[in-house]
Amino acid sequence: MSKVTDALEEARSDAQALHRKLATAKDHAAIRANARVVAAEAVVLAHSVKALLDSQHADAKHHLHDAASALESASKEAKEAAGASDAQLKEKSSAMRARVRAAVALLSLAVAAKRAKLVKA
Amino acid sequence: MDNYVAIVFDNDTKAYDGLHALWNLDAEGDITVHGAAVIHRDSYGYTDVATKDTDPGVRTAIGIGLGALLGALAGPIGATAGAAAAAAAGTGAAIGAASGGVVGLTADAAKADEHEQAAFEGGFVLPKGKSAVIAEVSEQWTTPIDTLASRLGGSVYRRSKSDIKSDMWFGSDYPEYLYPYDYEPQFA
Repeated sequence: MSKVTDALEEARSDAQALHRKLATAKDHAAIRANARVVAAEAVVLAHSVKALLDSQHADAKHHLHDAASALESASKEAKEAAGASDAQLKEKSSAMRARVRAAVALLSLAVAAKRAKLVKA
Repeated sequence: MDNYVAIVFDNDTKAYDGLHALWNLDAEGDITVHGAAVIHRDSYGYTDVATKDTDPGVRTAIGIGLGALLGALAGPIGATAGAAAAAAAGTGAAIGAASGGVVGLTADAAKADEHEQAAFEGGFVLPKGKSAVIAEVSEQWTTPIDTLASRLGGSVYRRSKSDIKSDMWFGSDYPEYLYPYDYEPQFA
């Protein structure tokens, strides 16, 4: 199969980049700074994912819907992490990270569903 | 097919090459990788996972979820032992050691009972001193990964995700270890 890069693959790549960014933060200031970035970028990505819904087959659509929800939750968790006290920061940032990881997983499933459809077609 | 795969290599370097090659297959659209990591079993039988060195708070010892996955890949005996170890041990380090044992236990147990040996010959075994790429993938056919492994001198083990899911042992930690993108593995 030849390489296919489309909006869905780009959305997955963007979500992977978001998750990768979270893995680089070590101290509290960096975690809060990343949380602010995630809060903004995750909601933009959620809108992009929703915009893809109509162009996808049923299997991928289901995963995309859930991915958009996970990204919106990630944005919400990120806002809370950005404003969290030191005592709460670990818990909040873990929740944010888990939501972003879930979104990546769901987008990956959507990509797999799209690729499977291409093979069958 | 949604599968868990383990590709066993002779050393860390080949396993790293295998990890990157796996993600290249994803980039080319031949398979879809949902997450992957490199693990290593040392000469004492202890198994750990190569994380990104920049990850905050991620243990290098294998946790309950990934330990259970390794046990499930190993087959029925490994799976049972993996579940027991996950339930009995209280720390990541202990579970890491236990799951390392599980990975080796399967082969020993199979050898001990000729009648059951055939059932476990297909099971994942990570010998002491070897490394492996563990991944969750969607693949329409097995050729891309089998060819990759053959080219790099690795051995492939598979289990259907639906089979393993039904075992219901996975904790929530294993996605933390299976990175959803290519990375440079670092052993602690």
